Amino acid sequence: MRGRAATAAAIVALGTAALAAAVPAPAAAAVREYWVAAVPVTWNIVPNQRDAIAGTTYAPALTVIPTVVYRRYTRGWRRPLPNAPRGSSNQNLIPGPLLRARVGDRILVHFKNRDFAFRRPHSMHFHGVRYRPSSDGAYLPGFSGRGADVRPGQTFTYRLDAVSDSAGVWPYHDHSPSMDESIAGGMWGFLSILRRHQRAPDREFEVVLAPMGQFQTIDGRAFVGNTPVFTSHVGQTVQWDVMAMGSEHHTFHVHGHRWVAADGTDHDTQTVGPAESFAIGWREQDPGTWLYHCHVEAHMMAGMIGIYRVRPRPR
Amino acid sequence: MRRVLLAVAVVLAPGALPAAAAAPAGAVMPLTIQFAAFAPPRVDVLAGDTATWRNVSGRMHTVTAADGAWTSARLSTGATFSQRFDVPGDYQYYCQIHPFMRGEVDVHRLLLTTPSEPAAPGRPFVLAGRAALPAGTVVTLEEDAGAGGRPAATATVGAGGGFRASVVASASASFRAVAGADASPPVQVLVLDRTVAATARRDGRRFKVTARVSPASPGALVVLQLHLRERFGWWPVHRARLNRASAAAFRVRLHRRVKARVVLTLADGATVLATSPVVRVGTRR
Repeated sequence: MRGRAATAAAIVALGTAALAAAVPAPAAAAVREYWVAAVPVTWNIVPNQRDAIAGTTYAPALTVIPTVVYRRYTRGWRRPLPNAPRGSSNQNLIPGPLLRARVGDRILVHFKNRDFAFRRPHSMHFHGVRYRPSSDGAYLPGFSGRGADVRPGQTFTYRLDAVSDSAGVWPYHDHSPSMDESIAGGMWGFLSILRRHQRAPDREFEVVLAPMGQFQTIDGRAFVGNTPVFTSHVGQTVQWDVMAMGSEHHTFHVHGHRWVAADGTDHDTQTVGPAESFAIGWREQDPGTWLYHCHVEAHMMAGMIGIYRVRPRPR
Repeated sequence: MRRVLLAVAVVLAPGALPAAAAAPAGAVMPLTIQFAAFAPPRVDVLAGDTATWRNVSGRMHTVTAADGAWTSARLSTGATFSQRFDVPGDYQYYCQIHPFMRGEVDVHRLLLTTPSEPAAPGRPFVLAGRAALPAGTVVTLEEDAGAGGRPAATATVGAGGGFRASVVASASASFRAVAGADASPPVQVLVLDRTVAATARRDGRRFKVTARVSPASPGALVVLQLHLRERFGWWPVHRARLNRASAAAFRVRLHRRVKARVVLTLADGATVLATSPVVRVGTRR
């Protein structure tokens, strides 16, 4: 978008809320069930083994780590499903499943710990929704229950309510006794909750800014080509779900676009700290290949950068 | 990354590497007591490790030091006995009830982990180990391909007692870790020179890429890579295990013509042992 008029034409995102309603959507409350497991995997932070912009290469010794991730499954954990719905990302396993709901919904997250490699306890702790302490998933000796310390082979169902102030995007993450290793290894994901009559965007991109190994990553990957290559075409509504995990602040920047932040001002860069999250969006009108990245220079140089490709409007 | 990995990936880079987060000193060596034998009958452990025997037989046994320094009680089926070993040396033990049953625990200050996969000639290969030596101790990895030992790499013992270094072997050899008067038992590194052949042919609306590895390496991991502009290089898209005929097939559907190749890798799916020639896949819209 190349001018104020274009910005004004952009679809406004307010605070953690997503896109403005365009078409009424079903508002009847639903029970949404998700089946998620903690599974061990080997994860390559730099699958093409290079930083194409700097022209340096990285040996697998530095980029491949054994870790544990959240993985989405069909009912009863029978078959794995992609973590991201079609159009939301082009990678799997990190971040964890995109858990979508609408205000008024009851969300049941059935969690199973299949970490038979490290044999660590795991849990899921959700931001932004309402729940009883038993579904908090946060380990506190003497107080927390089974859901905060799910042992390998065990299961637990978290019962959550998307209430009126739950609209927007929120993190979830491991908060069990193994929280530190789990968060460093990619055990986090998004809850994405629409308002009652809000229309879902055509494209929803998940951006988690977090350190991993010696790299600064987006969705557990570092450097252009390795980080998600997000795609859309002119005319589509796009929503970027952004959050940070770890102990550092980040400044999320998308080239060639601007959006309106919670305070009503225009932004092309927005700060996000650990476990903070926001959704921004617009109706796409700028074809081309664009960069998105953290504008903390040291983070960008260490891998926190990716590309976003907008195709012309299909004929 | 569909494949679940239960073992820690072996990793490679030239030269010495930072100390691994390998198991620190104080690991447990599980052993079993069978009907008429200890299994395995001889093990190498690190000073500070604990050996734990479990009686998996249907009769009573003991685990008793040959010099009488320690003994278990009578162990019935399912019972266990643990003994910690802090001082290097070879410790023989036997069963007092069945004195013909004998075993030995050899305690070292340095141990190398036996590589789980073969190496490739001329490519870096990581050897990892544990030391019951102060952090910062420099360990030399010696290679012996049959003509006597020669230093191949050095590593530094980390805070957790782990160390690792990458070595380049041109042929199968034995390696040991040496620091002062201490030396680990040797481990064998098998070096195989493998080649990957790949063919691509149209299969309906898709392309079928078939890879074959020789010498035969059934079970080894191969990865199909595509050269993609938006990925800025070779991008892994599918992985497979070689079948009994040392072959694997991949199917891809692409609306553009791109270069493809198949690489043979370590269990990490990233460390390349051999690369096929490039083939072309995909059709223009």
